[in-house]
Amino acid sequence: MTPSEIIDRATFAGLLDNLGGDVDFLGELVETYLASSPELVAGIQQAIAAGDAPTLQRAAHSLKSGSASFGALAFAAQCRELEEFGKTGALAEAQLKSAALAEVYAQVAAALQAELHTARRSPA
Amino acid sequence: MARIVSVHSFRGGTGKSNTVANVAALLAAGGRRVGVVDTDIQSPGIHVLFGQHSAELPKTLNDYLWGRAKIAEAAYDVTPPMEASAGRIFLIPSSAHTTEIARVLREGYDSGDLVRGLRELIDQLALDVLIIDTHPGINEETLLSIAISHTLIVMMRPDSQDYEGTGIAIEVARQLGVPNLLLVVNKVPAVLDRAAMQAQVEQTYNCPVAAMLPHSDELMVLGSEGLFVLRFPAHPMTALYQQIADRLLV
Amino acid sequence: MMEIKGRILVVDDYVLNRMQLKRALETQGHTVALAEDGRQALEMLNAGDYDLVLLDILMPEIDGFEVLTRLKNDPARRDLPVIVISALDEMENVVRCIGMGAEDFLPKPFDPLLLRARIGACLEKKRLRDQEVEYLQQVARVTAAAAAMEAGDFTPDSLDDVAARPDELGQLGRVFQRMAQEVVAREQALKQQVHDLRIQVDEARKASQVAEITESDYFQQLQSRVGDLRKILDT
Ligand SMILES: Nc1ncnc2c1ncn2[C@@H]1O[C@H](COP(=O)(O)OP(=O)(O)OP(=O)(O)O)[C@@H](O)[C@H]1O
Ligand SMILES: [Mg+2]
Repeated sequence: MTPSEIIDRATFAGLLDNLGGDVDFLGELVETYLASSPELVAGIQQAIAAGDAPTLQRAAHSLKSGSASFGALAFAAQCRELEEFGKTGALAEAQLKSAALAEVYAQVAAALQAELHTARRSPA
Repeated sequence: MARIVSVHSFRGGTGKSNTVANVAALLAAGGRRVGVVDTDIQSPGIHVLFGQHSAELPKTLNDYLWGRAKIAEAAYDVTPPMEASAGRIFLIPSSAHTTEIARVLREGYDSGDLVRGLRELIDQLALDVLIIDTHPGINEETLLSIAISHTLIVMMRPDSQDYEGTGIAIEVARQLGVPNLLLVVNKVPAVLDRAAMQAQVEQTYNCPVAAMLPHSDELMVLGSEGLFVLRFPAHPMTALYQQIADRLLV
Repeated sequence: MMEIKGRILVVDDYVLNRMQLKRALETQGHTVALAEDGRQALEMLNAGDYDLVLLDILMPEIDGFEVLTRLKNDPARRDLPVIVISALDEMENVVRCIGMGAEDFLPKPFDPLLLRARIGACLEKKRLRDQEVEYLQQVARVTAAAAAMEAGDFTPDSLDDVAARPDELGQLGRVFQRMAQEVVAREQALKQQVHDLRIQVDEARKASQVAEITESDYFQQLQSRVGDLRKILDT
């Protein structure tokens, strides 16, 4: 996937718009996302391993919501599925679905940094 | 014999007429035949409380005294509608007009005439009680009323302007040998401690208090529209008027 | 109309949501406090005074449902409006929260215009309700003051804040308070008078006035005749 397929440009631009074009605050949000997401990714995998469906649901829920707000729509959709599995307790399906989660997240993180970089360079 | 009662006060407006009219109504309700001598037909007096206009009262006690009318002509049955009572109230207006007083003084007044007139009235109307609503202050006429009374009620308000005059009336009545002296304190503000005040009044004048009547807005509002005790039979004020009525029969 | 600014408590366990909401709400002029979970939210609600709660549903331990239940069971906080934060794919949760007494919901991701509209409507509603409650409370105060007057234990300054209102109720409060103060003053004066009430009679002056009457010819004559006069009446 190219960065533009990982991050939906329109959603990303819409977020910046909602922030009144404040790229610095957008930067803070991205940093916070990047700082908190690895823990959520790990949390999802640990919860699946421990058979803890509620924690899986919550972690996937947060990761979904944060990812979606930046336009990481495919990743958000994957998180949403995981959330749903957590809700219904379908841990085996969750195990399958989460196999490449860390790798996908790493792509999202890189693409997001690239988008932010672009945003910082373009005039407000 | 009929009991003669005078109701007096040093100053005007102490509530004499209201007390006389209401006590008379209670006595009549209790089956008594009551005569009420109203000494002030000129100004709106007690006759108004009985629903009478002075124009409807052409003959007065004075007309009888001067031989211009029979005594019965100067007595008006003013008994208000009351259920099941043989009692009656007769109003005997008496003119205290200055010209009448002047005439009394000029022609030499025989107090015996007045008293004989009252006696005739008592006999003819078979009265149990004759109540005289006197003028405020002491003059010859009030002295005569006081002198012939079995009971004198002196009304006062809890007001320093009444204290000395009340004392004078009581002292004068004592010197005339009036057998029963009673005080009534009227228009007592609700906030005052009536029991404490009664004790003080009794001690000051060495005279029993028949009732401590509170200031009553209802009474004031009713004004001369009618008789309070008939309008408000269950009111605490009516019980106090009854207390006075009961003291007059003994 | 001036937009109402409120004290808003944002409850969300996800830091990114808290950041975004805080920023958006502060940009719109509100004062924002943040709670990271249900337990902290309940603690903050006990300690502070808020006009509105923005409440996430999915949280560890004490979740949004439970926070909402506790708020609605607390008579002192029942009227505090709650807006539920929710993704559009969780509508069944929203429906459940509205059934439990939540005022409205706010979809994620956050749209500043929608946020402004929902928060504004909610605060306006709360303000009207607060005013109505305050009005009724103050009417009750005037009524209570009237009863206290009757009972004689009215404290004159007990209506100070009602009297400070700029409206008709304030006018009533002011008039009542003034009347009450006058009545109290008068009663106190009267009580004082009774306290001091000594029926003072100047005995010397009274004696001289009595003498003036009893020494008059008329009185003397009357006194000598009174026995005869009484006989006319009594026999
Ligand atoms: N207890 C009371 N409470 C309130 N008002 C009263 C009371 N008693 C009398 N009044 C009012 O006081 C006024 C004077 O009463 P009233 O005419 O009976 O007095 P009075 O002594 O006969 O007066 P006067 O000396 O002029 O003949 C009336 O307006 C009456 O309604
Ligand atoms: Mg009178």
